[in-house]
Amino acid sequence: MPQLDDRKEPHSELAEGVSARVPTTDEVQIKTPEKICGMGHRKKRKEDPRFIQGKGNYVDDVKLPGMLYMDIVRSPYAHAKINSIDASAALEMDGVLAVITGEDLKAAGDLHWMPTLMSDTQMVLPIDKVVYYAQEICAVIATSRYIAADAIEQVYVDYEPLDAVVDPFEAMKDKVIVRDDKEKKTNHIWHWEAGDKAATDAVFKDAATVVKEKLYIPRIHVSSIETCGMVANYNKARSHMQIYMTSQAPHAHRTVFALVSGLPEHKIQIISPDIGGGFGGKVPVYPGYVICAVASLVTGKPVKWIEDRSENLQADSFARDYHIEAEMAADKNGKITGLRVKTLSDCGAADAAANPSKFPAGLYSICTGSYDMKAAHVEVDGVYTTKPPGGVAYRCSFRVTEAVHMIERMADIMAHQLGEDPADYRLKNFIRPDQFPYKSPTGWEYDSGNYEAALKKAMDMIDYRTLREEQKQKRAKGELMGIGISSFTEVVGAGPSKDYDILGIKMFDSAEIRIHPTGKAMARFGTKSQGQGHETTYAQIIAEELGLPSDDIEVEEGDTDTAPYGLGTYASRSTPTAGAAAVMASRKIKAKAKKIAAHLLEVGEGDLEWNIDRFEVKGSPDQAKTIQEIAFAAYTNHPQGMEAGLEAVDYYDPPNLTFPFGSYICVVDIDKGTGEVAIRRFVAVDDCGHIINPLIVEGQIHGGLTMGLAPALYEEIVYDENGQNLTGTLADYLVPTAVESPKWELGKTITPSPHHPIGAKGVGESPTVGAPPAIANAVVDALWHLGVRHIDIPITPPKVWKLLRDNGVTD
Amino acid sequence: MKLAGDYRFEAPIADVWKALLDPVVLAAVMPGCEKLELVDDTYVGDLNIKVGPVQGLFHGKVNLSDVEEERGYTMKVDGRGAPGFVKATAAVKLTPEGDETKMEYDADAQVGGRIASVGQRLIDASAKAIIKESLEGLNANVKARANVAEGEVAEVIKASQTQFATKVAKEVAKDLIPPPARVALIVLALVGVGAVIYLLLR
Repeated sequence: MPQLDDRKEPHSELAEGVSARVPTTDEVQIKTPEKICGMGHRKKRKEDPRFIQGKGNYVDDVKLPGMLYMDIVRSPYAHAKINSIDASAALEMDGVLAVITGEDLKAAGDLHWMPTLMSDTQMVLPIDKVVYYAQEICAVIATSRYIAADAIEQVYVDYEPLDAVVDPFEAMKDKVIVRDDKEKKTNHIWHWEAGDKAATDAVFKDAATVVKEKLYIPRIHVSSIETCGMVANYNKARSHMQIYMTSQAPHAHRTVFALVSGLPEHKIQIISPDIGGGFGGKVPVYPGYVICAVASLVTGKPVKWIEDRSENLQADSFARDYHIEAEMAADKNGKITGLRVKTLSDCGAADAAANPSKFPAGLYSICTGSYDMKAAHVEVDGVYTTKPPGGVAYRCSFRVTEAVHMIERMADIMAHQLGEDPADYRLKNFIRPDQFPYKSPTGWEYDSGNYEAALKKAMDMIDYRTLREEQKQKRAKGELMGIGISSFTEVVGAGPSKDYDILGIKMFDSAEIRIHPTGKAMARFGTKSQGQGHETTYAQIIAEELGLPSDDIEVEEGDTDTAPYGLGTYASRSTPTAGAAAVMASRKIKAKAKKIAAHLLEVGEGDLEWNIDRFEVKGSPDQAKTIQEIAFAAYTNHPQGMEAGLEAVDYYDPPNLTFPFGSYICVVDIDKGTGEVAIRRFVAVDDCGHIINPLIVEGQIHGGLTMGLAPALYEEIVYDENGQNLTGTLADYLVPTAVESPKWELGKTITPSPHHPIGAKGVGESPTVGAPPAIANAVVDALWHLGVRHIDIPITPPKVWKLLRDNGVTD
Repeated sequence: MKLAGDYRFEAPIADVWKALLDPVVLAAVMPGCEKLELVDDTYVGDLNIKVGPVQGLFHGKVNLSDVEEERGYTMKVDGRGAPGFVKATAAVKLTPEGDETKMEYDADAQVGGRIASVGQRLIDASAKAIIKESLEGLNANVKARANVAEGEVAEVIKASQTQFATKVAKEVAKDLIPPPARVALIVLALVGVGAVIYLLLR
């Protein structure tokens, strides 16, 4: 459990003058003129000209001379013994150079197993048995992609099918053991608790009302437009491995590769070029990456591996898959007093979740959400099943989506149960603005918030009370209309190094800024954009701090040979960590710039003050040196005894996480004949602290809301009882497009983070986290009077239709 | 996947029974069958199966058990190939109905691999079409044999892949489109195809 109060805050001096109880506004601050384009400007994304012209450079665009291609033979069984692999027919084909099996990897130094990010183990290629459908069996290396694809059909694998175990509750009975490689013959992996059990039990004993519900948050897939892939290029003469890879965390991956392969880390270069969507799916190391790198080592030639869509959907890390049993207690006034949660986490065949290592269930214990309550207790158990491994955060911060869905559903159920309006009920139970910084019953310290302001704004925007009137009238006529609210609290920006790491590497992040003599700059980061617009956002942060026009700043990420070490982009951590590092590095530069300006103006440093892009002599603003003049002087006329140049690096270790929040209201109409849910309106009020670029923030929210709509109504990975994936194409795994997306109506409040140097919090994932319960709550709200208490997402027409039929609404 | 149904052969039970055990006839009537041999008590063969976008060669074994002369048997199918696997058990029962023979079948099949995950929506329709096509082919062969004069050998009538594809399409249409709309849609589709051909030729 995180202990956040006794931490020494490395950047606590930054918080000076910013009280923890920060005022909430709704105006974006703009301090710089248009030509500098610092924070708050609606600057169009610098990266878009190349993307919209088809001039991006993705891994599959990389073409190296003499490059070979890899394709992978995958298991048709979820659980089977491998008796033999006969690759002779494939090897006889023209253009086939090698077939790599588990035995080959074993011979190459036990590379047939690898560690997962949760310090579990996972097969790269199996020796004797497979544990999930579509598991990698062996790989064919050929001179063309087409030959490789034909050749995998010529590999004959003799399997002996074993019983699959697909249901995690069945798996807990240990009748079929998934991982018989382990010493303990059990499928149970770990048990984890947070909060105070005794205090929670006491609260439940005294409760006036208790509501209970079972919720399933289904297994889903990020299904980014670009699938995963790699070009590995081993240069034998230099003993150097160059890797182009779809990676959200290139530095961490380099270290993992070095540790696994034994290659020295300085001889490994990982380049993560343009990435077509990550959403957590490009954080793990997949077996394909390791095999591809080995293939290049073995052949001494560049080898390319690119997954096809079905491989991506079937074998890459899934997200969610939480079976939750929740209870909420309230006192006689309806005030929420406690929360008790038991959860089974279906991990698949390995615990390959992408969580900080202290947190097997991620940040799930944030599940008391936006509500002030006395006590909470959360238990989670991880279990193996014969399904693909994973547990990545589908555009969210380590299991916060599961937590938010549960608490927002439970709060809604409680409000309905008590006969209270769900909006008024939330207003009554929110953590009040004067309670921040707020210590939650499970140990979190929320940095700042004003939940009332966000919900009231959303209610005004959608005209909530009028909608409730309309709903009454419609219900009298037998029409089904529902209004759903979600007032979520996110927890992002991992994280303080005391608690957060990946395989032991602390979750700081970095920025390096170099200002050239002509006043133009190069900035490199340890993060990696996958569509977030870092090239624009980071430039605006530096422009704000140093007064350099953001167009004069080139932002580069993703090449481990040039970028400073960092932990990458996921969990909405880029702005909270690397964004803060950009500020800190800028301030280091500014400190040196002040010395140079004092030298040039022949005054003392104390006589100077900063004004947007220059140092001025106090009371005599005509006497000034702009940042460009100072940069030129840093290389041509710097003070005696001072180092030349104008550059700085910063590794930022945040003192706390940030806690963005928001209130979403969704209005749905339900077709009584078909059970189809139509979203009539969706208002989203987000508070992500200070906004760097409103245009990018709005774009992030649009995308995030659509990815919240996805699991609410459409997406689910489905398996049959034999562990066969039934949703292996985009015809079966339904991803919403512009056609299905409603008009998103956006609003904002601004409650800055008191500990972040520019008061920003991060926003990319809030809408994905907050949207599903708003939609689910709206559907249940429409059906509550029929006796419906809960519907698991995705809320598909057949599910709703069945409820309508069972309740006599339709036949 | 459960597949059950019946079929009426226009031939006496003895002829049907003989054909049902003859690998040459069976190979001819099963769509996509490239080879079928009787090795000891097991039929071994290769079947080229196409389900929607997935196609590929399955190597399979068929075992007959509970064989009751001219009454029926239980068939166990174990097919594997690059696109996946098929495992099925089918009970086949024959009963004489005058000069004709009624066959009832009840099968439980498990399909896995790419053919199931990618071709999932079409598997039912394809399986039904494969069975229908095979039985119709068998019927044609049995009838042809009955009409051949004593001492002569009947030519084996082979299945056509085009006919098979048409049948799959029909089965899919049956599953997806209600009957009244189906006729209208087929007419519309024909008109559409006609219009395209007309425009291309003009």
